[in-house]
Formats: sequence, structure tokens, C-alpha cells
Amino acid sequence: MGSLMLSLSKHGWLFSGGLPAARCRVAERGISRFAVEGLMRQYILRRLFQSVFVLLGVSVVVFLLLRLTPGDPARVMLPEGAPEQEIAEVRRLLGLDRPLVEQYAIFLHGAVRGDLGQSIMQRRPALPMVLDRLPATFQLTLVAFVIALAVAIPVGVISAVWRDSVWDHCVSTLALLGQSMPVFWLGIMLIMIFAVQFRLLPTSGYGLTQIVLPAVSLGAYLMALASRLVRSGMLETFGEDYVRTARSKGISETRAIFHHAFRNTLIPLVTVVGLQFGSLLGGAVVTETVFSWPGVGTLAMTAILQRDYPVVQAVVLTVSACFVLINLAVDILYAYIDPRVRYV
Amino acid sequence: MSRRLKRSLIWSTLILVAVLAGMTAAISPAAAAKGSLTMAHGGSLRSIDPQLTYGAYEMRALRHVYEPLLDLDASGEKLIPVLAESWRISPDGLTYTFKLRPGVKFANGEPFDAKAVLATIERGKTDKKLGFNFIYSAIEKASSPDPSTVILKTEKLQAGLLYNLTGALMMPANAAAFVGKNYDQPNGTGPFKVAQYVANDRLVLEARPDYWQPGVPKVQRLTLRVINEESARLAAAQAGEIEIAEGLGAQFQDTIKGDPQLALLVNPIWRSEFVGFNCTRPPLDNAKVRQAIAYAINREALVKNVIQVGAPLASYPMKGVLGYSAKIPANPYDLAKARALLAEAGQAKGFKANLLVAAGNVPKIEEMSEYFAAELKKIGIDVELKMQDSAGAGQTRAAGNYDMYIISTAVITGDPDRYFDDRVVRDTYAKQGCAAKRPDLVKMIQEAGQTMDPAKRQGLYERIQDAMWADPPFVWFNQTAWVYAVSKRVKNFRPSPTTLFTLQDVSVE
Repeated sequence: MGSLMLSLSKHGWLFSGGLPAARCRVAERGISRFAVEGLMRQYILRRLFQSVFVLLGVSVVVFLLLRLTPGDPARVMLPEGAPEQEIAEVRRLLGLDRPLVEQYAIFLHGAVRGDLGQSIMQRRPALPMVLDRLPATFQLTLVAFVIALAVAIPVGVISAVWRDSVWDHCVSTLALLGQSMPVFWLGIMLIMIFAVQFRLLPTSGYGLTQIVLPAVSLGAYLMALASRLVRSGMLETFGEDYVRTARSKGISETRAIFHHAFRNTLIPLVTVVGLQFGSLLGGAVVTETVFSWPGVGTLAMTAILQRDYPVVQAVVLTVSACFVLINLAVDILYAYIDPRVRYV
Repeated sequence: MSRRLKRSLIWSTLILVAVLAGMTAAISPAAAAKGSLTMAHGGSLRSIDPQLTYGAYEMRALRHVYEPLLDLDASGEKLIPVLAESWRISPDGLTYTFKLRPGVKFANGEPFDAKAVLATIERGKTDKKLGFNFIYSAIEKASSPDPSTVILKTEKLQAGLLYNLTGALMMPANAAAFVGKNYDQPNGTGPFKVAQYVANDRLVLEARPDYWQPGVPKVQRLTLRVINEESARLAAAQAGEIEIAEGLGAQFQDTIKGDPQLALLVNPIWRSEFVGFNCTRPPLDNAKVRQAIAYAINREALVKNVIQVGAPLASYPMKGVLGYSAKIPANPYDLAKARALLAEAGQAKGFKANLLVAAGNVPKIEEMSEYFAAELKKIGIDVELKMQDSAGAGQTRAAGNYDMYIISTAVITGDPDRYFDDRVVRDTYAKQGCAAKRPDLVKMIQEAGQTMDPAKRQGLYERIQDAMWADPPFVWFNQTAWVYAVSKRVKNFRPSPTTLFTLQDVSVE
């Protein structure tokens, strides 16, 4: 998750109550704010440059995997029973009879110009097909993310504060269930209860009300994971010297919990949750299928089954690029949360 | 709360609202309104190009926008005029003359005439990547002496041509300019026009007030949705979000019957599952071995306990399709006879073979494969199941890496010739096909395909089936049926056995 160089202060920046003091200490060491921002810019540019090679590697892997997997797009394209010479002709028209290296070179030549090929099945440019669907997946992922954290954070905090209480045990049990339940099963259960039985929400489709059930289904695992992280992180920071000192100085319990203990839980939480956002993005396939959510997941599923090579490649590259950017955003967020973090 | 935190929260909220607001500007399902009907199925809606698609759902969806010259009636057994008012076949059977229906317009107001028909056929013949290229390639020449007449000439006799033409949806005259390209400007003569299309998600259609046939369609808005997950599809029907859920699993029949808002409809269709053989691999090259396998399967038990819907069938085609033979029993189950045949073939101790299964494509095909293997075990044949997805299984079959395969087939045009020609004569995998050793069978099939008299054709197909029973290239199991959950508010819904029915006569209370 990038390279970190912590600039440690004598007492820790939290002890003195916040970021402005930390900035002062940075200034005392003679490193100006502008220099810090310049280092950050360099770091971002370096990460973006590295991501080009990451995406190149991904493109090679997905290209080869598709072509090594049994299944011929020309055969899938034509009805069962099409003569071999027709299939061979279609393969030739699609360029699939050329050597693999030549096929990859053609693909790469187009990719650098933003052309990821044309869908074999739909005869439309592949990248716009993915970009048309990407917002729906982002919306679903973002709402799942927000719902998960909106529930997990307060639940985790209360569990930590009321440790070993009935509430704490209930939350732990539910968190274990949330991490164990298959998304598929949970999705069907939510549909049966909230849509069929109580008619509170729609069963499927795309819209503001339609997003609720799939988002809850998709976010359940993260909700469970994050609540456990918050709980364990809070319990660890409760025992730290600075929290004990803060309490002994007479600050309110609420301030001790949220301003001191919870803020230090954010670093591990952001680490895991940031990675999970990328996983949610790529792992929405099952949820999108159950709820007929018209996102990239269902597009990828159909394309894989139909061996629509350009579309699969476009989906994988686009999602990989998003994943890389999300990781970078998370790294930048670290610096925002904890000014001890500097990137060189 | 610090200023920084407040600013972060404000920005986060604004971003979230912007993201969600994007949804309301984008696609959204039409609110259920009076005069609207929604039907959902599994499968795909890849394209709105009427010549590109060949899947049953896609073809049916586009038949609401585009129409053929002639079509099958509701029973699927009789040809009826649509865009062609009438037609005649020359005495030599090689020339078809169609009189086009006057006063028909495309959705953009352009008149339908011979130019449109010729353009449709030209594109169909020229573009080699189309799903139903075979319909157009059978036409040697298309011409038009006047705007209301089209003449099609074929090189050889083709008894099934008119039936195959029911799959040729007529496009506007500019179709010829779209060879190799996607025809994505929906403009047909059908009762509906396209209001909204999202690939593999939904097709929303609005009724055309200027449709040539009075009194139809009965609904103002028709939505065809893809909901791949069966439970979710049924749930949508139970929740009242859709009026018809198609292609549900047989296990949902009791649930549908128990719902006061829904009616169960089980529709037998012209689709069948069967096992094919690699006749280059002994001992499957021995006719007695394949006969033994045909006798070893209890089709009634298969349909009752495994598939739970449909009917047993041991021959092809099924009742209702030209060529059906009542002589072959639906369930010729006889284990003793199967063992005796294996012994005669020198395989009394049995043998090992694999069965290639295209999993995930056909309901219950995995369970059918397991049942098949269990039945063959009783006569000493040890079957190993090789599960692959449909595309992978197709590749494996083409490479000849199989002993047996299980798959589904349909007669969507109502004529058996295409099936026999593909499966037996050309046999997609001709190198391994059993018909390669049966020139007598191939000759009979080609003769039946060129016999214009229906009675003579029927006799030929019956002889073909007798010949196929004596030396089976395939073993059939069943005639499939589709399960529907239909809202009781829906009237006049009568799906045909071809599955290519339209909903223009269906109304909703």
C-alpha cells in the first residue's frame, strides 16, 4: 500500500489535539507545507506511472487466459449446427485465425488509442459498453459501502464501549453470520421477505428504491468485517496511554471515544475497507445477477459465457484501472487522516 | 466537530447525492400503468438487430417490432400470411412468388414494399456472421417485377423454405447498407416500436397507433425483461412487478399454484434433450450398443422424478411437427433387452465411457446427466461426467474429445428438415457423427427435405425414424415443457410450442 515514512513527534500529534499542531511541528523541522505537497504530487505521479505496467500485465494475463480457455467465439456466435466452413469463415472475419502475438499486438495498438475492440456478439465498441454499465456498478458499490459503514461504525463503537455485554455478544454473532452467509442466499432471502412478503421494496431492476436490497446484500460482508475491526481497534486504543491521560485530564467520555480512540482506529479500518471497496466493485457479479442490476458484473458474466473476448478484456482492464485508482486514493487518504504519514 | 471534518462530510454527501441522482436520469423501469404488460425470462437480449440474434427470447422479443412474410399459427402447425398476403410455388418447386400486403408502413412512416424484402435478403445472404444466415443462403436469387411482388428462386427443391422464412424478419430498405454492422435503428412493421433498450436487461415497447392490423396490440406498453435468476423471476411475479414469468423451474409449480394472484401454465414446446455419440470410438460405433443405451433409459421416471415437467419421448420430432412417428413408443424401457443387445455386441461386461455435459444452459441438464449415468450403470456401462460450460463443451465436441454428449435441440421453424439436415446429415461434428456411416439414411433425409408433398414427406420421415431406431445416431429422452407464472389479470395468453409467439393479442385487466 505504498511506502510510508512516519515522521514521529515526541508526544504524538493526537496528544496535542489535532492537525494544526502537527503542521506546526512539521514546520519546526524546516519542511514547508509546499514541500510536503510537492512530495505528495511526486508520489501520485509515480504511482500512476507504475499503474500503466500493472494494467499491461493484467491485459496480457486476461488475453491469454481467454484464448486458452476452451470455447470458440465463432462457434458460439452461430447457431448449433452451423457447418465447420461457416465457423472457420467467421473466425477469419474476427481475426481469430491469426497468431496470438499478432492478435495481442492489434489489441494493444487499439488499446493505447482507447479502442478496446468491438463486441463479437453485439457488434458495438466494447469500451463504451463497459462505461455505460460502470456507473450502475459504482452506484451499487458506493451505496453498499455507505450502508455497510453507516451500520458497522456505530455498532462496532458501541460493542467496544459495552464490551462483553449482551449487545456485544449479539453483534459478534451477527458479524460472524454476515461474514459466513453466501451473498446469493442472502439476496434471495431479502427478496422473499422485503419484496414478496411485505412488499416494501422492489425485487429487482434499476432505480433508487431498487438499489436498497442489492446494496444491503452486497454490503453485508463488509458490514460484518468492519464492525469487528472497529470493535477490536477501539478496544486496543482504549488501553493506550494517551487515552488514559486524556480521560484523567477530565475530557468527556464521548470526546475520549470519538476524538481520540476512534480516530486511531481509522488507519487499519481505511486499509481494509479501502481494499474491500475494490473487491466489492469486482465482486458484484452475483448480486447483480440475483437482482438483475444492469452493471458491469452481469455484462462480464454474459461476455465470459459467450466468449466475447473484447468485452471481457474491456471489463477486466476497466475494473483493474478502477482498483488501482482506488488503492491510490486510499493511500492519499492515509496522509489526510494521519499527518505523520509522508510519502517519499 | 472540526472545520475539516465538516467539509469532508459535506463533500462526501454531495458526491453520494450526485451519484444517486445519476440513477434517476438514467434508465428506470416504467411505472406499472393500465394497459401495460411485463414479461420476464432468463437468457439474453443481446441486440435489437433482427438478423443478428438467433436465441429464442431475442427472436421473440424482436417479432413485436419486426414481422416476417408469413408465420406459424398458434398451434405451430399451419402457415398464415403476415406481410405477404399470399404466395404460390411454381410447379417445379423452385420459384416462390409472394404478393405483399398493401398499406403497411414501417415505424418511421416509410412504406413496406418489395425493396425492403430484397434489402433484407441481400443483407442476410451477404453478411456471413448472422445467426440465421442459412435462411437466406438457401435463396439463390431474389427479384421484384413490381413494388408489391417478390420472387424467390432456389437452386434445388427445399420443402422447408416457407417454414424457414418464418424466421426472416423484414427490415427497411436501408438494411443492405448494414452488412457487417449492427442494425441498431429499430424500425419495423410490427405492432410495437422501441421506446427503450438496454442490452441483456430490458426492451420497452410502445404500441403503434398506425399498425396495419386493427384491434392490436391490446396493451399500450410491453416490457420484456431479463431476470436470469429463477427465484427472483418468480418473486417479481409474486410481488406484482411483472405479469408473466417464463421458463421457471418445475420445482416452483406448487408455489405458483399456492399463490392466489398467479395461475400456473405448463406449455409443452418443441424442444427435446438427447444424447449424441462419437461413432469413431468403439464400442459406440456398434449399432447394438447404441440401441442398448436407448432401451436402458426409463424416460417416464426421468420426466416424473428428475425433470418434473414435460413428456417422455424416444424419437424425433415430437407430436405436432411434420414427421412425428407414433410407431416408436415414448418409453421403450427394457433392461433385459438392453443387456441382451450389449451381449450380442460383445460387451456383456460393460465398458467405460464419458458424457460431455454443457452445464448451465438447459434446465436440469446436470440432473439428467446423472440420471443417465445411473441408468447405464445398471447394464454395466460406467459413465464419467465431463461438465463444461456451453462454449467449452462446443469446442470439446468439435475437437472430438468425447464419447457421448448431452444437449437440447428445438424445432423453432416448425419444419424438421433443418434439424435432420444439421444433426444427422451434416452433423456439426461430421468427423465423429454416426450418420457418416449411413449413406442410406443421409439419402433419405435429403430426399425428404426436397419432397414438396406433405403426405409423401411424412412417409419418408417415418421411414427415417425407423432406420434411426434400428441404428440410433442419437438417444432422445423427453419433450420439454416451459413453466409460466401468469398473473390472473392477464387475458388471452397462449404461448405456442415454437416459443416464438407474440403478445399482441394479450390484454391486462
